Amino acid sequence: MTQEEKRLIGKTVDKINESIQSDIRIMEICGTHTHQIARFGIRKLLTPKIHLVSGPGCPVCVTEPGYIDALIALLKREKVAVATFGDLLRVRGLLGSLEEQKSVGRKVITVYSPEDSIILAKRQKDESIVFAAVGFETTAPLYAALIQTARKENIHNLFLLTSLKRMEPAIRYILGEVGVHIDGMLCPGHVAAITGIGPFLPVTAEYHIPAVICGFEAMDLIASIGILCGQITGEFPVQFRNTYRRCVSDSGNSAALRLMKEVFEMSDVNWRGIGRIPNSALTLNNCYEEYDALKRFGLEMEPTPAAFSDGCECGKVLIGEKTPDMCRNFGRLCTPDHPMGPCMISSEGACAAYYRFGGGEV
Amino acid sequence: MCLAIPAKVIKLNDVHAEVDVMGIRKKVNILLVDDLKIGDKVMVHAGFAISKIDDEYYDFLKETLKEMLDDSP
Amino acid sequence: MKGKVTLRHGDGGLHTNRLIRDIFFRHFDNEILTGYQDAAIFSTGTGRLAFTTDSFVVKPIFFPGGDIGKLAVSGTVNDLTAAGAVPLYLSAGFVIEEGFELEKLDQIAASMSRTCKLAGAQIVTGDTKVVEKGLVDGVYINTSGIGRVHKCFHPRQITTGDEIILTGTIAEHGTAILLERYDLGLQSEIASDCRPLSEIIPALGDHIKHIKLMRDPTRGGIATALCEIAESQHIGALIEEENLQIRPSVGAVHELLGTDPLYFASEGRMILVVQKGCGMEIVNILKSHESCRDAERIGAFDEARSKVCLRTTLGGERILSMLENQMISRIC
Repeated sequence: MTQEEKRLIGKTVDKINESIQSDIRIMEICGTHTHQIARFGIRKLLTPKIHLVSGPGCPVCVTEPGYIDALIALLKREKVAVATFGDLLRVRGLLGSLEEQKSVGRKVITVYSPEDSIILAKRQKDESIVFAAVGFETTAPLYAALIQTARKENIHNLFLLTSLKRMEPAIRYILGEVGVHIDGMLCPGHVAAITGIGPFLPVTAEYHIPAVICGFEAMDLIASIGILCGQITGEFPVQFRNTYRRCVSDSGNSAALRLMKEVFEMSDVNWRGIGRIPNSALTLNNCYEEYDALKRFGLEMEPTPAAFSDGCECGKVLIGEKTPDMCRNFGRLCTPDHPMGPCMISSEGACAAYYRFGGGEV
Repeated sequence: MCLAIPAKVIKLNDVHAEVDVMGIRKKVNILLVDDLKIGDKVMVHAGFAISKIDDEYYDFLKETLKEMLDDSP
Repeated sequence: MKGKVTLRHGDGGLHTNRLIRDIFFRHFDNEILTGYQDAAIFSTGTGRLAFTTDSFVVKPIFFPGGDIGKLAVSGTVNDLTAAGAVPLYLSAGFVIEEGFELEKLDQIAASMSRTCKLAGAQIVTGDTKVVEKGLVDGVYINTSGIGRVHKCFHPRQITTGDEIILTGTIAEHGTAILLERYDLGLQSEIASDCRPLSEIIPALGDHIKHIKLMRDPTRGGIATALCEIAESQHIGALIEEENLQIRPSVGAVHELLGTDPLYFASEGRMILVVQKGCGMEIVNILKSHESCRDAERIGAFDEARSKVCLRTTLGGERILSMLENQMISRIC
């Protein structure tokens, strides 16, 4: 960070803190925002009147226990390996976690990129590789590209078990049906890099909440919070803004959107701790169903009850109704070493970020 | 939800590019970004380039901030 | 040197003796080692001694910036250094997997010998065992060490204002090993910082009386080491992120993987807790020595705080806690 940037950030912070006289709630939907806010220590910079609350934007946190159980069921089949990002290893279904399965010798392979699974599939031809395809619109096109590549290269032992979610229906659900009260919203920059600004416009247009598409560096976060505060206090007119134009165009990434359209269709899905949201999932369409692990292995994904431990408030944390420190388990019974709920397991879960970086308390 | 970091394109090779991330070389898939050229900056998410980065807009962000602050150093 | 280690090399007979003579005696050559069979005999003069032991099971055995032998000597030498001692004599115990290449063993012994010379120490006794294939992964090494404690070094209670010095950049060993161990498709120049730090003690001379405590931030990284110090002394601290130095390429790896470099090991760095007001003087002394040229004052202890806090470059603050679990690949 240059001195000039530090000076600008410092001045913006001062201005924000002077202008906010009563309590306001700003929601960051994206788990990476949650993580960066904690990492930069931004809560400590801002007046305690500004409450930064997290939304449902950590894909690992909102993935249902039944999904993990389906992966475990697959691992128990002959010659099946599951490839996954590290985030998912410790998430528990009713049958346990992938990490536990790995420790008893089942084939769980941690990868950095979906593309690694192509190499795996080519190398282990007599094995079925199931990729645990979790994520939001940022990651969904990667899987679309993967499956098209698999088809092109005649690979028939690679499958996806999808848990891909769309942001817009979740935002509408939280603001509309649940009616969570917030004064401003930081919209997820990397989802928008794919989708464009369209899915986020309703936040301001329909729900009349100031909203900014925001990047992930300190400058992005402070500038966006500054703009939101200016709109909340009435200094600036309420207007949808995009401060992350260096990555996000109005219409998004056309190549990625085209691929997604070719490969996926929309369907309903349960969000862990939140409930069923119509049209909020992306699943493989008929054209690509041969790559769908559920269909290939004849599995059903059981809708499971929320299955949170006693007193776990993850459901409320995920929709911004509560901050992690308002949960009585937080930091005492529930820590990253002994997580009781999904928000403590994923490193981007609101609870884990709060715990590791000390949240607002220093 | 979406960890991604900026990188600079050094070499192009069909559907892959070699990128530089602060001195680290990495091969990334570029199927999702059209018309890439050597020297372009891209955002990399899980081994894929997901968008180009137009740094002019970073300056634009700074200008926006300055306007908001009535800041003219 | 061609061939492989076989079970016969561990039977205590002819082949064991040859192995010891051709590899270990050749590289570690000194009279104390070669003069006696069952125990090393030496005198140490007067004063306090420090004694430590550590076992090394690193994978891979050879990595950018070092190997298990360099690590095994540096690790024990640095533990002695942290105790305010100049290393004198080391032992080296090897547990070798049947089939391990003799040439590699020779390289490891050579590396240990070089590292000992750099540290001014001698390996004066040792042991070799060979186990069946699969029982260990290549080779494991245990080193113990004896050092003479500087007469002016007296570890004591840390209080508010005591300054924290780190002798260099962070996280290089842990990051180099991470890149070697997982096939992440990254190409970099990152090398382990693994090296002996024994020159610190003579460099400090009588200034060592201002040092209240030393600790090498190995497993768990700088964050865990600081938390351990703070917790054991019931005190908090404020660390300045701006003064923590990280090579850009190391930083880039952690940005890419979403991991926190504060939790990755160094094997050639030392944390020094220095009496309030003496920090800059000590930093300047350290900086003139090769192994500490990037030394910086990184923060201070503070009784008003209950935890170790990090002031971010932005001016915000966050708490540092001990390593709980480290995630390697993440999308979110």
